[in-house]
Amino acid sequence: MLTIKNLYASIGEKEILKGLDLQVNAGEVHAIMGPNGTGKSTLASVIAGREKYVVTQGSVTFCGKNLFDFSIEERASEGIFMGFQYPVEIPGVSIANFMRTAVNEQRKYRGLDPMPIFEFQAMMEEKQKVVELTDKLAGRSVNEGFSGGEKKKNEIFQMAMLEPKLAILDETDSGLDIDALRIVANGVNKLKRPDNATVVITHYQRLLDYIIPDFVHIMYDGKIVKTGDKSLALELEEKGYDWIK
Amino acid sequence: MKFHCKIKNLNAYLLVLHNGIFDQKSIRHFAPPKGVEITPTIPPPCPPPAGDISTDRISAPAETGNFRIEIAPNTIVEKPLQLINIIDTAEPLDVIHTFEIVVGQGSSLSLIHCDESLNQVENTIQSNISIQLKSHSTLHYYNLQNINNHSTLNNETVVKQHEHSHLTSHTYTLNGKILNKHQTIDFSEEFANADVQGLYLLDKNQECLHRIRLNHNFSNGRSNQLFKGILDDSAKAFFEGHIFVAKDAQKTEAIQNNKNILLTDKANVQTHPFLEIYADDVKCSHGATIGQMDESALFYLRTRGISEKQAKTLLMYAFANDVVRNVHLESLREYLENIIKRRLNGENITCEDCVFSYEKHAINKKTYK
Ligand SMILES: Nc1ncnc2c1ncn2[C@@H]1O[C@H](COP(=O)(O)OP(=O)(O)OP(=O)(O)O)[C@@H](O)[C@H]1O
Ligand SMILES: [Mg+2]
Repeated sequence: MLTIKNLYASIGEKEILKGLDLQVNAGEVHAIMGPNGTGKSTLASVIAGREKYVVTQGSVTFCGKNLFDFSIEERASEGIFMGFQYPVEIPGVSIANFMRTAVNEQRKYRGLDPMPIFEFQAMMEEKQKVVELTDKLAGRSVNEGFSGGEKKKNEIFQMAMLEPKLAILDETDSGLDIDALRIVANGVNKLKRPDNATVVITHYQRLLDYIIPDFVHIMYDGKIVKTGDKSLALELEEKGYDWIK
Repeated sequence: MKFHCKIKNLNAYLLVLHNGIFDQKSIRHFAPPKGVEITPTIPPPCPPPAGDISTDRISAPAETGNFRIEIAPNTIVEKPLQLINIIDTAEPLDVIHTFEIVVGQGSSLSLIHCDESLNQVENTIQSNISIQLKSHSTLHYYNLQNINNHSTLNNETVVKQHEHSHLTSHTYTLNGKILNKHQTIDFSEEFANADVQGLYLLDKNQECLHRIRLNHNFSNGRSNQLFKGILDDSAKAFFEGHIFVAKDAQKTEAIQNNKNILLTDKANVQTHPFLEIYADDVKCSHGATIGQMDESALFYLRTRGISEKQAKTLLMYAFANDVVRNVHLESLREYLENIIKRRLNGENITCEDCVFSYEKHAINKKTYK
């Protein structure tokens, strides 16, 4: 589904990704771990298409297509979803209006008519349940005044609404209490299908008790330096990062 | 009736100033409710409009465009009053008119004042408005400015507020060449309250100027100024907000905000907050921002599949709605939401789309295009 080869990316003068390789297939769950500042969020942003990062080398193929041929919004409509480490507050735009616009823009891209309003409302209700979000939140402005946990739940809610092929969740577990962590992880698991894939970026092995990864990658200084199964996460928990440096 | 308002369910009493002449018949179309008195007036001579006005221009007769609205004490006027100031002459026209509003003790009134032009020539409009709010009275005053791109509007509003009176003054600038609005608000007793807000959506070479002088002369007054603007192309905006707090005006609360989004490098905003405070127990703040659209918010929206254009519209609309959501008349609010959405989508909101339509004009539509 996603093939990254020898990817280099920089911001300004600073090179952050330095020859990264990654292969993600449908039906798989991948975890990426690694010390602060190694470029995990940068990788997610480059895949999502953030313009301030400049790709200098390498290739990213998504479902057989060159990802760099697509704009940010086209990538989303092609089926890529990014859960933000720091979801952005957007005062004055309600979640309902935001999601309705997003759903319909993606439908337009796929040549479908806008979703009838009743159908949309029913879908909102159903998907809110996935992460136990209350109705009240839907009428509020996107992320404005949300607690850290609510913001992360809201990311998974959006993922549920948009049903992406590939979800990259950047530290969706950080800042969550035990219950919220379980709710968010269950949400991700409920959305899992044989034809989609998930990449979770995390610092904590704890999350991987709930979302069982097929692969665990360690990222260090802009590239993947080690790949293993879920036992690698346990090993990291024990030994820290020193041994991979 | 020649004019009918397009705002759904507004259900307003209509007053018409047609080419500078106060249409007395328009009063007779509704019997003003008990406690509302509308009388034509002859105002003292007022200064000519600013700028160079050549002598061969046509002026509307000065004594015909003036009136006074007086609300008797303890009268709640349920339906809003709507004043439509409309120009549809073939030749450029200069209009000077004056009106006076007195809201009696304990009374309340909503007034929607629309400045419109259906022609495409260089008119100038000079509105001199004087407002008196007696104690415990309320006035919601909404000014919708939607004149053609060649015309100039000078609006001079002076407000005097008595104790526990409440003023809402909103200005929506949708179209026009030069739009000047000066507002002087005097708190002449304690516990006066004023919300002075504005939204200007400008493009091409349009220019908008807001000059506000808010005089907190007595204690326990509260004022809140919120002015927001979105400027495209080579548009210019100028904001000058002067808050004066007298020595004895303790416990004053005065807030002022002016926020602007510039969509191009050529658009220009100058903002001058000015606080002059002589009392010591006061809460005053001001803030001004001039910026581009929030890049991270745009990115966030786009990662959900929303096109760049649509994302920008959503953000601009949210920015504008900060002002519009404070409109307390639901029908007017919905109408404004709708035309602002269309305006932000790049549609040119012409007068006939806007607040009302003019039947004669509808027939002759082609000649105006
Ligand atoms: N706008 C920027 N300008 C300069 N450096 C930047 C910018 N954005 C990110 N960086 C740098 O790029 C590096 C990688 O950042 P990134 O956010 O991708 O790390 P990360 O692995 O996600 O870290 P964390 O675990 O703390 O979330 C960091 O050193 C960071 O300071
Ligand atoms: Mg990060």
